[in-house]
Amino acid sequence: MMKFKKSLSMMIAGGALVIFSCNKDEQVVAPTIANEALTTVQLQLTNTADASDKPTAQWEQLLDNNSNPLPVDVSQANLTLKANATYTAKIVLLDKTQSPVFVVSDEIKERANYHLFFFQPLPTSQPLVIPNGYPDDQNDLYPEPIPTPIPAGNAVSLTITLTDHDTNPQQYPVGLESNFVSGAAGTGWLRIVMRHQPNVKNGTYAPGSTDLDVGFTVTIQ
Amino acid sequence: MKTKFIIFGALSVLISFSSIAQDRAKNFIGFTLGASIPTGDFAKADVGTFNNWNNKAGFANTGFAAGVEGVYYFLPHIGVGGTLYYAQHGGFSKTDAAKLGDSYTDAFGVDESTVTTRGNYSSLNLMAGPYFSFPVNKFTFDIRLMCGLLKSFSTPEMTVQLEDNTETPLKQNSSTGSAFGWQVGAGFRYALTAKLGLMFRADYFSSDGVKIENENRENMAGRLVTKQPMSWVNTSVGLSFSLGK
Repeated sequence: MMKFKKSLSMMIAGGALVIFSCNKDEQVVAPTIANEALTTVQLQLTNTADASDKPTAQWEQLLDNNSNPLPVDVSQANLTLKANATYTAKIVLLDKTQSPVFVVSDEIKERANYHLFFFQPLPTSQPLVIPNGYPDDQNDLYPEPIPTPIPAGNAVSLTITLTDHDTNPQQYPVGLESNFVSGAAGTGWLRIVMRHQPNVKNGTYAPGSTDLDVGFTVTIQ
Repeated sequence: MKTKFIIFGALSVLISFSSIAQDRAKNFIGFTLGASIPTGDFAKADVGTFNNWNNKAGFANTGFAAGVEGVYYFLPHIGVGGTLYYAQHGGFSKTDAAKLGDSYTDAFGVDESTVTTRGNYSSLNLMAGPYFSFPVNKFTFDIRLMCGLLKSFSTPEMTVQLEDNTETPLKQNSSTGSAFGWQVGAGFRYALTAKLGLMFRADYFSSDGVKIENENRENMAGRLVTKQPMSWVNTSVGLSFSLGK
């Protein structure tokens, strides 16, 4: 009988302890462990009317041994397209600081629900897709090899449509895959920005921050 | 498999006791209190892996259950009874919050996330079903199979701030939903006097769980709990009061 009473008392005491011990608020800040470096951006296009017409271009900025950025290499950042043609385009992002080279765009594809690419042909007669505050903001320079300010001239005849979509309920575009439609011959530039929009992606440019901002010269001939 | 094992075990015990039971079981009411131990997904503290998040893990910790039960016997060893009990289980610990924080930092590719958690699981459970009771000397052995309703009073809350986004933090709200559940258990009563007895119980409870509401989930990424399965084992002691002669 004494044992029964002792057990019962212990159970009640244990229960009371649980009641008063499990209502704590907790707050934890969890930092990221590592981020990939975006060193290389490759554009890979294929002419839909001529599969042998496969223009490519590459923008690259490698890092030194201390992870400081080296000068931008735009020697291959030249995209040459045929006039009045349609191309399917693919962006490949690489991290060449890793061995073997890490394909960042594969990771972006897995994280497409909060990434969005914007393509800005320059010069343009249309409102800018990618905002630029120059000359009010003297630090808002275009990425190499695009000059700041953009020299006056005819708008480059290039229309880009994003063709891939994420898995959000609204199925926003992503931009790893797109269609490039060229018009009349001319020259200009193409600015590409990748926006990182964690839980704020809504199809527009504004929310989030910029993970990538690169430029290419464009020749339509 | 687990369910089959429990039913097989219960039937075996039932058959064994029916052969040695001496008297007619007496109607009774009883009051119990004891530990409630989460099991299955409810007890898991696993966030999962990137794009394979565990959306069912409950992170529940051992708590307690307190309630009342009563039985009316319409046959010598078979009656119909019910139990009404309150159960409470601990929610996210600091370690859990850190795990969740790491998962959201990874899931959204942000530099950091700040996870704030509070609250616990609490519910009222109303169960009814058949009792099989077998008096042997001062002991009465009971087996019960019940089903009924779980009414949640609270589930743990979580807020996740991604980097410096203070305007649209992810929120997992506390739920006051209801759900169907079932319970199977066994125990015995020891008669201290003609009317008063000590009760010992072990019960397994299971429910598909209550609906969980979330706020500010603009983009599909990271762990998202929309329904929380619940299951636990109650081990309790109490007092029983026999009714009638």
